[in-house]
Amino acid sequence: MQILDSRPGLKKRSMCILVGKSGYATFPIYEEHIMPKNLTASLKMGYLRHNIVSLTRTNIEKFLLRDIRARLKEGNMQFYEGTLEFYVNGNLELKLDYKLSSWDFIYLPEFSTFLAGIIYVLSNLTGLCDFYFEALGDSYVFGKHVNYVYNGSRYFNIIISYKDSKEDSRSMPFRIFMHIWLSYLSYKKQLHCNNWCTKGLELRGRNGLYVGFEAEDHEFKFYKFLPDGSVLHDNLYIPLITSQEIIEYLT
Amino acid sequence: MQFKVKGLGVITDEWPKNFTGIRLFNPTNKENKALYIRSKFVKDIARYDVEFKDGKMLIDYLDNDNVLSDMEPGLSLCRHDLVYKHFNLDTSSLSDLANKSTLLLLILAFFRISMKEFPHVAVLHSDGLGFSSKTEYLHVSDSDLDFEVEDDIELDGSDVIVALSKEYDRCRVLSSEWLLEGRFGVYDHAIYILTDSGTLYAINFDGRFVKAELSIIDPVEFIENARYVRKD
Repeated sequence: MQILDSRPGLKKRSMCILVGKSGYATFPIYEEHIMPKNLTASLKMGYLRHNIVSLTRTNIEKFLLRDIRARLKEGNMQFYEGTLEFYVNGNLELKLDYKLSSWDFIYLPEFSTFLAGIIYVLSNLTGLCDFYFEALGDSYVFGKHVNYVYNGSRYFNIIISYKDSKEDSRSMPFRIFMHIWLSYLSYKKQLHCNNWCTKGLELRGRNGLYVGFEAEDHEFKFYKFLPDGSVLHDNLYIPLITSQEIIEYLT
Repeated sequence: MQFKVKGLGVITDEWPKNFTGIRLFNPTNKENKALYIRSKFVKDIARYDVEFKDGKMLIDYLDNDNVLSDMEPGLSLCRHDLVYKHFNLDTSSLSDLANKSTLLLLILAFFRISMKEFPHVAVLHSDGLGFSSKTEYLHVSDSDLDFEVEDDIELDGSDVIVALSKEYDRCRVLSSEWLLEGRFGVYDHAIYILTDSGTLYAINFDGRFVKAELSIIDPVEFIENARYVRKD
């Protein structure tokens, strides 16, 4: 992580940036295989390097502390606010505005874990496109620009989705969904992180997110993807529909 | 300036770098400087033997005998330089009352050895030890356990100080009697502490710890059901 006083030049560059009051923190990109191979209908566990997430967490905590101190010099504050931006080839793909109350400053190690997990994952996905935040915490968010108010939790569920930029544009518009689970146990100073991936068609219903898988020729099954990363197979599944109906629905 | 108080460590009047500990401030003090006590977590409180020596300088600093002043001394808990909790101290004529100054040193020592792992602190005011014949448990409302607000420390022996872990599942509780650590629960507006040895305690109206007897339910199951949940 690098701390800069001014916004870095972003022409054609891919990276995550934390925007604070006192400066900008930039993060390196990685080319690790955090996604499992051969994505299928079921969620498959990916790979996250705990040691890198942990190191990133430590650095982020230092940056947040520095930034909070800089803001405190201007007087009392009830909330600390900052932004995480994710750029791919110079384009802003995702933006997360976060906020934590001054009371939650004692949870900086936990909150830094949340940011570290997202940053590490996104820094490994710079070859992909069309990113969305699907869920944060216990709720769906559906957006490229979302807000997050931290509530003192030490467990985090994040779902992001994106497209494989190498895929043929004439093929079915599948998206890849990644559920990231993070936790930080302060009394043990232990960070845990895992990720799971699946690939399918996305339907955003009023009451949730559905991911469709090709069950048989031209027929799809849809399962509900809950914000905590679990998949409902039974109650809320949509019966088989044809690919033509799906494409009409999506367009 | 710096000096040492046995039981509290080195106390300085310069803000230490990356400070986690207690900041004491007396606005009526002529020098207009705060004092800083670094936190030092003690894991095993059963082995912790509290003994104070050389506390006179500290007590003199906080002693507020200026009856015309309505400015009270206070103490703040800081983590990495950031203040997250403030207490107003009733320290009027502290030096005249030996009990008050001992209580104050005890409270400072409690914060010092606990705040790292038990950062959420609230002060409950009981009827005071020995002044009540009531046998009911100390009534605790949601506002009593609001850890974000400023609290008053009376130093009259009626304070019960509750310090909770970040996850609100464990606690240390200080009364004028002694210190308890265990799993924390709130049931029917009463506080329960299940010690690691398996004894369940509640807090009486007068601030004493009393063993709570359960007839049907197992204490572990009880404390799990009584688990305190953060109010947002």
